[in-house]
Amino acid sequence: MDKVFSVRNRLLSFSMAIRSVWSCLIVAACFVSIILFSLCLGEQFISLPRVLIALSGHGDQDVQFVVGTLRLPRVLMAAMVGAALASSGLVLQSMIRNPLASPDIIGITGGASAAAVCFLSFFSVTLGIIWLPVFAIAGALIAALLIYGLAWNNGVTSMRLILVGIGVSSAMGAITTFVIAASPLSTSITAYIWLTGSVYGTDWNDVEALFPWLFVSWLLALFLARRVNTQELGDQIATGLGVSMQRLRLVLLFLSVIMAAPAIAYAGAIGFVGLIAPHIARCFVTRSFAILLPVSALTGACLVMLSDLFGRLLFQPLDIPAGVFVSAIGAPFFIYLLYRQRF
Amino acid sequence: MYLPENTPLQSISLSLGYEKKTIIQSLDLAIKPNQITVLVGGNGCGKSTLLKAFARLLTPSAGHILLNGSDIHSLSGKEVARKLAILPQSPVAPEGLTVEQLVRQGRYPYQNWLQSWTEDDERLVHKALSDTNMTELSARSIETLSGGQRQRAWIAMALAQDTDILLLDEPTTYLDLTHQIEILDLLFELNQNQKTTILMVLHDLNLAARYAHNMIAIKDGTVFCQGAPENILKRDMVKAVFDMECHITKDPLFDTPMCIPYGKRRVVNKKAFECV
Repeated sequence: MDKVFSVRNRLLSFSMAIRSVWSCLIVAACFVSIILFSLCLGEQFISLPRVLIALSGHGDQDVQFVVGTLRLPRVLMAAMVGAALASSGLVLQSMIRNPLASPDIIGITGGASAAAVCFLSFFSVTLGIIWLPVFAIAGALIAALLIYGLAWNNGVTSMRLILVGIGVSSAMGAITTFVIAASPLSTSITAYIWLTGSVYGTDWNDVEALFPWLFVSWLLALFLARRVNTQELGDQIATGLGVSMQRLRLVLLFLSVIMAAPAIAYAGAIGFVGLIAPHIARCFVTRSFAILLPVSALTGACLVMLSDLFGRLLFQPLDIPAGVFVSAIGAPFFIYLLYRQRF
Repeated sequence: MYLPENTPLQSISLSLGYEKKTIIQSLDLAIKPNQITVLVGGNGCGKSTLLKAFARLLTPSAGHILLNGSDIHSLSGKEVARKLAILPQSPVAPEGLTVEQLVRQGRYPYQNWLQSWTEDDERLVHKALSDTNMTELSARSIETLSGGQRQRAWIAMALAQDTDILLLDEPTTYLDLTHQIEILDLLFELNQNQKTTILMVLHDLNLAARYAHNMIAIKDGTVFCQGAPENILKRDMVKAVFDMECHITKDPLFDTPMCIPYGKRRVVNKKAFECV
């Protein structure tokens, strides 16, 4: 049996494979390194010591401005968005028991996109931009309810969810394209950038608005972790062990929406993170949801932060949206996954 | 309501169906405690459906299932899981799951958010692994095991659940002869040592006759007859339930009834073959 790290006292008892704990710490270290890299690099190179001084609130005012107001919120937003989408993808893959599931495929991203594009094309003049996240979250929720409702047949099975999700996702894509075609050119450009996904121009308000969503959803996910592990064994075995499958499925679907939708609302429809981050995480740690969740989140965060970094650096002075590079890494990986599946 | 003797699991006027088809109509059945009961019957007679209803996997369209006297659907999932374990047909484990991880899942009904690896959990998982001779294989992935080993791993998970009642749906189908006997011997020992009530569906009539204390023959969703195999395994029963002519003889090793079906055969020179 694997060497385990266990805690056992009157209040708390759990055990975890040591190898997984180490992997988690290494990924966390990568995460912190990438944050520091992103703060150093950009139009103006700032060395690491100066970055650290600026973070502590001292040193040159200009450096503090660049690090604290321009770069740090953007990097944190990229990290949070990556973490949120990766978590959402992990929840969906566990719930549907299919490694190809992700918020994009099942229609959550599509719903958020359709709603956001409608807002940008028709309402952004009348209502302030502050309403964009509200629209996106509402769109994702509507899409999720639609999927759940259409998949209902005296209960919901994983297979039905994914099939209906693919259909709803296509329908949402059609709505999005139609709205863009029907709207004036100026809003089309904004809409396209939104659809690709970008963290350009993030400020601290956005970061503070997104963080509570993530925090609450992660607490809920950790609370459900054991149930998620058990339900991966199949509906019948899980029911036999005492899990109420229907209720759990509904809760997990809701959880994946509140993880993905706010992130999509603030950063746009960044695709592929929800699909590939959990797969990368599975290479490093065991199949336990409680450890897969933080590792997937950190992996997703690293992925989006790196993509944003490349977007800022590689084509200066242009600022390429992060979504472009995520797709550049994600699409070949997705093809590789399909190739590996034993069909 | 007619409540017979002290029985851990029984159905009262149970009716079950899928979609528009009724499979079981108003069935009263009591399972005897601390014994091995086997459900036998032809394909589609309703035995698997009945087992699933007992395991709370199907909701009855009418009637009740009583677990230790209480309606099984009025109890919470975890309460039922502490008293009754089910091993369905052909379970599938997620890729990469090890034997030990699988067996640990069997402790789910006893755990909560804060307490997920108590001393009891550890002790019972290790005990389940050693009872099924899976301790050396505990770090292996399920999909790398042979059919018999895999089935033993699933049974170990059900054992870790530490229940008085164990339900199994065709645990030996798709296994070769060695592994069939291995699994059935394991279940028999379990019943002998821990007095576990075992209810299972078996296709092989002769194995059922060998291991079962009680046999229940199901035909068209009703109980055709039930009792000790030596009392009920007769030509007329096999003809009625399986629509098959057979010859009932005594198993030369175990003295339990053995059913040899009539049918086509090739010609064998009587002198060329001797029983060994």
